[in-house]
Amino acid sequence: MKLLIVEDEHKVVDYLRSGLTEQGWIVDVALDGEEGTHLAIEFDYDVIVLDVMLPKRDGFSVLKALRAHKATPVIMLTARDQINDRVRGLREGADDYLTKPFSFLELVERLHALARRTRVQESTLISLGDLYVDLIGRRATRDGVRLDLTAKEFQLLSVLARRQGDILSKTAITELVWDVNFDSHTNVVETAIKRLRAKLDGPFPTKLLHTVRGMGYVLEVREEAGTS
Amino acid sequence: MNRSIARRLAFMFAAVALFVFTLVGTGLFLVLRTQLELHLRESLDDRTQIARIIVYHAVTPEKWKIAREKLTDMTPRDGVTLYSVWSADSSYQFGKPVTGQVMDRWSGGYERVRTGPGSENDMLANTVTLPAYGQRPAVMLQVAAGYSANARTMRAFAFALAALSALGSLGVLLLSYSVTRIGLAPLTRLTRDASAVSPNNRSQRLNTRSLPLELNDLANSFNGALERLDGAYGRLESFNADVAHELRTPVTILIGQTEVALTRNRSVDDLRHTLQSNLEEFERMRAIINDMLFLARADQGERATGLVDASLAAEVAHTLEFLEIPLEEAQVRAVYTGDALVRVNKSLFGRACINLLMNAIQHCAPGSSIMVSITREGDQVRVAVANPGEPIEPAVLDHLFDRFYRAEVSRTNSRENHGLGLAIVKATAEMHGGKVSVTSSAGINTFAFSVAATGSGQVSSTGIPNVNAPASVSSSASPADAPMQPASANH
Repeated sequence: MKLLIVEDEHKVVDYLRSGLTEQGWIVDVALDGEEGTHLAIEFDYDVIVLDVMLPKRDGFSVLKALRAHKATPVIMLTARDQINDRVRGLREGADDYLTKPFSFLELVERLHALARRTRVQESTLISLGDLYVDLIGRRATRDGVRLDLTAKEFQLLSVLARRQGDILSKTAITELVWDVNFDSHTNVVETAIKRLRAKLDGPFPTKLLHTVRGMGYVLEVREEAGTS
Repeated sequence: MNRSIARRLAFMFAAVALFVFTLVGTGLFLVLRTQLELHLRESLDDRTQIARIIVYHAVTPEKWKIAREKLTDMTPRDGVTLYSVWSADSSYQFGKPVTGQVMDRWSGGYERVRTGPGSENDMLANTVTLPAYGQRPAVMLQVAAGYSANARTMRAFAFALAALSALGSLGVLLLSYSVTRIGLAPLTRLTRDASAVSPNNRSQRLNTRSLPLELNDLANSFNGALERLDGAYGRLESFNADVAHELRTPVTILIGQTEVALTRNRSVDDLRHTLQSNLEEFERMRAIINDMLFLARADQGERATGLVDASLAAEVAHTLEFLEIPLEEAQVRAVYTGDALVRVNKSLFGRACINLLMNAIQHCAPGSSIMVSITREGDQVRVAVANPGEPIEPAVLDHLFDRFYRAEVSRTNSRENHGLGLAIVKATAEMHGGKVSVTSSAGINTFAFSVAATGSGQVSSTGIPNVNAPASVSSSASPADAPMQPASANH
C-alpha cells in the first residue's frame, strides 16, 4: 500500500520511512507543505501522514488544497496538544490525528484502521500453528484440546489472533478488549496476558504469545523456542 | 477619567458649601426685606397719624393755612416722605398724590407705587379719608414714604451676601483640597506598598495595621488576592521543579545506559536489551508529558469537549469490569449505588473513575469492600469512592489532589503511578464544572469528584437497586471468570 509522509523533521521522516517500509508500505516523503500538496494531488496514496507545522505551507492549508481534489485518508500529526488544532483538523477533513509525542506502534495502528475501512469481512475461524480460534462458537483449541478461557481471555486471544504477527500495544489491547481508550496506568493488560499465556502456552511446548518489551504483545509462531 | 479624588472631593465640598451659603443667604435676605418693609410701614403709620391730626383740626380756612405750613415743614427736602391732601373744594389742596404703576396693594389703604424705573423709586403710600368737620369738607390725605433707603440696604446686603458666599465657597474648596489630601495620605502609602510587590518579592503584603477602616477592606482583599496568586505561583514553581525532577530520572537512565551500551562492543541481545529499556523510559516520559499537558489545559480553564449523555452507573460498571483483575488480585469487592444521566466526556470520566478506584484498591486491606456511590447534590452529581483504610492526617488530606503529591514515600517507585492520578481526577472534575473532595473518618476514606449535572435528569435515585449490575453488562462472563464480580448493592 502506498503512503505519503509530509513532515519536515528529518529524524522523524527517517524512522517513519524505514519502520513503515519494513511493515510493507511503499513510502513517499515530502519535506515541506508545497511539495506535500503537489505529491498528494498528483499521485494516488492509500493514506497520507500530514504534520501540522510545516515550512512554506502548513498542514491545514495542505489538507484544504487536497480536499478540493480528492478524499485520500489523512492522519494529522500535531505537536500542539490543543483541542483547537484537533477540532480544526477534523472539521477540515482529516480522518484522524495523533498528538506528538506518539508511539510508532500507535501510528501503525491508526494507519491500519484507516486502510482497513475498505477491507472485506475477515474469516470467522482463525488458525495459527495448532491453535484454532472460532469467533462464532467463541471457543479456542490447541492441538485439538479446548482451552478453558474466560470471556475476556477469549476476547483478548481473538484480538491478538486477528492481528497475528502484528505487535499490539497495551493501549490498543485496552481499547479493543475493554473499550477503554486511554492510558490507564494499570497492570490490567500485563496480568490478563499473563493469565492467558498460562492457559494458552503453559501446557504446550511451542509458545505463541510473545512480549515485545516496551512495545506490546504479538501472537505468532516463532522459529526458535520462545525466549520471552 | 483620571481625576484626582482630592480635587473631586474639594469641588464637591465647594458646591455643597455654595448651596448652603445660598440657602442661608436667601433666607436672611427675605427676613431682612420683611423687617425693613415692616419698619417702613410703622414709620409711615406714625407720620400718617400726625398728619391726620393736623389736617383733622384744620376746621377753618385759617387753621387750614397753618396746617398747610405745618405739612410743608414736615415734608423733608429729599422727597423721602410726601404729604398730599385733596378734596372736592379746590382750596383744600396740598401737594400731589404719588402717581405711577401700582405694584402691590394691602388692606388699610396701603399701596406700593412705582413712580419711576427701578425699585428705588417705589413709594409706600397710605391714603385715608377724613370726614367733613366744621367748615372743612371731607378730604383725602395721602402720606407716602420712599423705598429708596430700603432698596439701597437690600442691594448692599445682597451684594455682601453673594460676595461672602463666593469667598466662603472658595475657602472651602481650597481647605477641603488640602484636608482631603491629608486624609488620602494612607492611600499613597498603600500604593507605595503595592508597587513594591513583584515576583521576586512575593511575600510582601500591605500593612493593614495603621490603615483607616475604609481602606482596611481593600487592603485585606488585595492581600487575599496576593495570597492566592502567591500560592498559585508557588504551586507552578514547584510543579515545574517536580516535572524537571520527574523527567530527570528517566533521562539519567537513558543517558547512562546508552553510554554504557556504547562503551564496549556489545552483542545484539545486549543492545536490544538496552533499546528495550530505553523504550520503557521513553514511554514513561511520554505518559508524564501527556498528563502534564492535560493538567495544563485544565489549569487554563479549558472545559471538557465531546460530551455525551451517559449513565454514570453504566460508566462505573464499565470501569469496574476493566478493573476486575486488580480487584481480584487485591481480594477486594466493589459495589456501586445510585445513577444519574449526565453529559460527560466518557474517556475523561472513565479515567477519573479508574484513578480513584485504583487509589482505593491500593489502600485497602484484602477482604474489604469499596463502595462507589453516585448521588445528585443540587446542580452537581457526585461520584464518591469509599474504602476502609488507615485514617489520613488532616494535613495530608489537603494535598492529596496536588500534583506529584505522594502520601507515602515508599510507594514512589510504582511504574504505573507517577503521582498525577488524583491530580487528573481533580482536573477532570474541573473540566466538567465540578470539584473534588476527600474525607477520612471512622476508618473510611472517601475520595469524591463531581461533575455539573447538565444532563436531562436522574435515571434512578440513590437507594434504588441498580439495574445495570456489571454481571448483566458483561453477560458473557462465566462465574469462574470473575470471582470478585462487583455487584450493585441494595440500600
